[in-house]
Amino acid sequence: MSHHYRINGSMLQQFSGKPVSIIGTVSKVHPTGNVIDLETSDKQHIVVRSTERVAVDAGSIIEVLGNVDNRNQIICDSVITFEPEQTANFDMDMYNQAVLLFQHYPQDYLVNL
Amino acid sequence: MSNQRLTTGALLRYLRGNNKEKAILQVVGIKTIDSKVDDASALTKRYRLMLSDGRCTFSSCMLGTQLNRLIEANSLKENAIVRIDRVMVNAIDKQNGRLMLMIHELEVIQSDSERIGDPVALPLTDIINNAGGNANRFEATDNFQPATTLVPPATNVIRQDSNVLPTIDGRNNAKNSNSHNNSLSAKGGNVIDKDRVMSIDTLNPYTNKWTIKVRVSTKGAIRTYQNARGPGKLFNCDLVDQSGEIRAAAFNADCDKIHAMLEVGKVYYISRASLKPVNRQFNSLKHDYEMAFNHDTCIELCEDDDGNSIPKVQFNFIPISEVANRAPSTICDVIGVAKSAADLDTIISKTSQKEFTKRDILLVDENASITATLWGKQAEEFQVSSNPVVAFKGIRIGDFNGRTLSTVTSTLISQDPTETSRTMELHTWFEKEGKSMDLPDLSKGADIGNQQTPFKTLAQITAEGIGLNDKPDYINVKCIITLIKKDSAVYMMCPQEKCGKKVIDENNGSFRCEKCNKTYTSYKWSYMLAAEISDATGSQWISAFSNEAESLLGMTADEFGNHKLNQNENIIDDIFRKTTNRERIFKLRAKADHFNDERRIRFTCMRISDVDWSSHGRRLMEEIKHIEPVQH
Repeated sequence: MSHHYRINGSMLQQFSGKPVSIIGTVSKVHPTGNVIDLETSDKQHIVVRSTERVAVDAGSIIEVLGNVDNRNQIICDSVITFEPEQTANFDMDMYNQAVLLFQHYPQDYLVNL
Repeated sequence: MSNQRLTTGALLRYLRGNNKEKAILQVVGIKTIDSKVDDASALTKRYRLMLSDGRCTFSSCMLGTQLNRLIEANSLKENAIVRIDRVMVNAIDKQNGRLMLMIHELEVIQSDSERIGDPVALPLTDIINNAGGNANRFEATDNFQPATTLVPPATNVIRQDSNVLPTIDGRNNAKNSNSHNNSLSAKGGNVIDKDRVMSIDTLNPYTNKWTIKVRVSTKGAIRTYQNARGPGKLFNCDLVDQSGEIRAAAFNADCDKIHAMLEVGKVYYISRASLKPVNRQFNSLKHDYEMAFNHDTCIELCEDDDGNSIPKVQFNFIPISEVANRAPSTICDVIGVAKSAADLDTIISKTSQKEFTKRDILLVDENASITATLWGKQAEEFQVSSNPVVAFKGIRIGDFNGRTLSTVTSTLISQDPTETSRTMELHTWFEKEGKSMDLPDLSKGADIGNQQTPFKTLAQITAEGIGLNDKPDYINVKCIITLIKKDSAVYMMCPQEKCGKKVIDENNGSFRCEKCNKTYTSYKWSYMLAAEISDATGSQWISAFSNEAESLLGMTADEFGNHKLNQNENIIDDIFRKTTNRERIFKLRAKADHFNDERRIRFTCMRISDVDWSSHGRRLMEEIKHIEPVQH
């Protein structure tokens, strides 16, 4: 699929400059619509910047694809939104455990296929 | 690499007593500490960490043994970045800056990393100077009591081999009680320091001065033993407070004195006893450690009403259905409603010719039931009144005909216990629906739904010889349907209730059933689906009947039969195509058939359900945790 590394909030620094995918809950959308505050799967709060306005609701779960800049923020290329039915039973903690697992066993969870 | 990711200054803040912070730190060193005990139970290692916050390092950080697996799984290692979720500060010697951090919970954020920054050891002066202000708070308990307590007349103080008898004379006590600094040593005073009451669950061998306020929930009899060092005697007791429970023992000289002094049900302040890792062979309480009273132990009866806040007993209940998953001969705590009780029974032991009285009761909870056997006095004294809630603490699991429970001499039986909310919950449930429910009875070999059915891959079926045993095997598999045999999906079935035989179509409106030996004018469509399911490891043909097939195809056999009669090929193809689009959990029954020397395993689908991704994820994590230590 994509060649983005799935990470959580604490891993931002480590993946500076690399293409990443982050899943989290939107805590706030700035009035400009270009900046989103995201609560990641490990309960960290990060900032996502976009060149275009992003139409997301606070409280919804989204996936952000982009790059980590040198201020530990995400410069996003695209945002994936989900239907409420799809995210109703999403287990964020389980996702976080999966992300940690991917980091722990990089040879078993390949990214650049 | 910059160290902005680590929480600089956190180490000093922890040592000053601010332990609420969840700092991100780096592990710069790990050391194994060997346990000094000499018995085989010392399987639990203790790890000591040196942590860095980017600027400073601190080397006296003890890792809670419940986190040992992180090191053994190579997740927590040198240079790993961690987040501290729960930490406590212990003072070994406050005045000289000898402190220690006890890490109870942490999460590994990143196992592999470069060393961040160039941290240097935290200067002792910083710790001493800044820790002074919090002298009485560092043990951070909720029971912070005012500093100048006049110690009440010490009625039951024990101070081993001292000349000071229990005294009502306030003089001796007053001298020691008002000097509240850290050098309140036990040598001079025989007084319990009630300022430092900590909870049982935080007791560990590394805390220097501690006091606990506990109730004696059980007290065993004094027993004698022989070991390499000669004869000895001991007794065990269980101590309880709001946070948990711990087992304590007294040996030889101390044994008699303390056994005479402690009374079951009373609350005591206890201080200065040894703590060592728990010996799981004899101790099934939840605590990591067990206590041994020694020469220096101080015990004081708690006179005031404050003792009422200490519970009488700590339960660690498991649901009755979980008993199925526990090994026989192990001990557990359970609670349930006594749905029925048999009469008192007398049996004669074949081996010893002794007479034993016993009483079987049927214990039920919301998901299962089980037979619990009471013995001797407990059987005789059991009140056979209207369905009480009964709690058992320390009851043994047996495996007769599945699972049973049997009391032992140390088992505590409590009817309608007030210490747990389960009592009310069970009473309410029983009144509403429990009394008329027919629950799976573990003592009658019941299989509790999916709980006991293991998950397998299709490849494991041949690898493990599933289905080849005398009894049928039940397994769960996570698969997709790849093929369905179209022609034989439904068959014409005898309309006679419970017959089920395929009828012969005589093509004149009559249908003959050989089993009933009758000819009928009608028939019923019935499913007998042959489907191929597949997962990542292989494929397997299975059969699905009535209910399962119906839920799979989304229509009744009759509806499907009609489509077949009308030759609605497109509709049928569509139905099949739709079922093959997603993964499901199939519960299969595997049993070998013997056909003329040929052995074929038949797989019948017992249940089809959708994948609960959350549970499935958890299941996989458990499996991964089991194999983790073997890798790398």
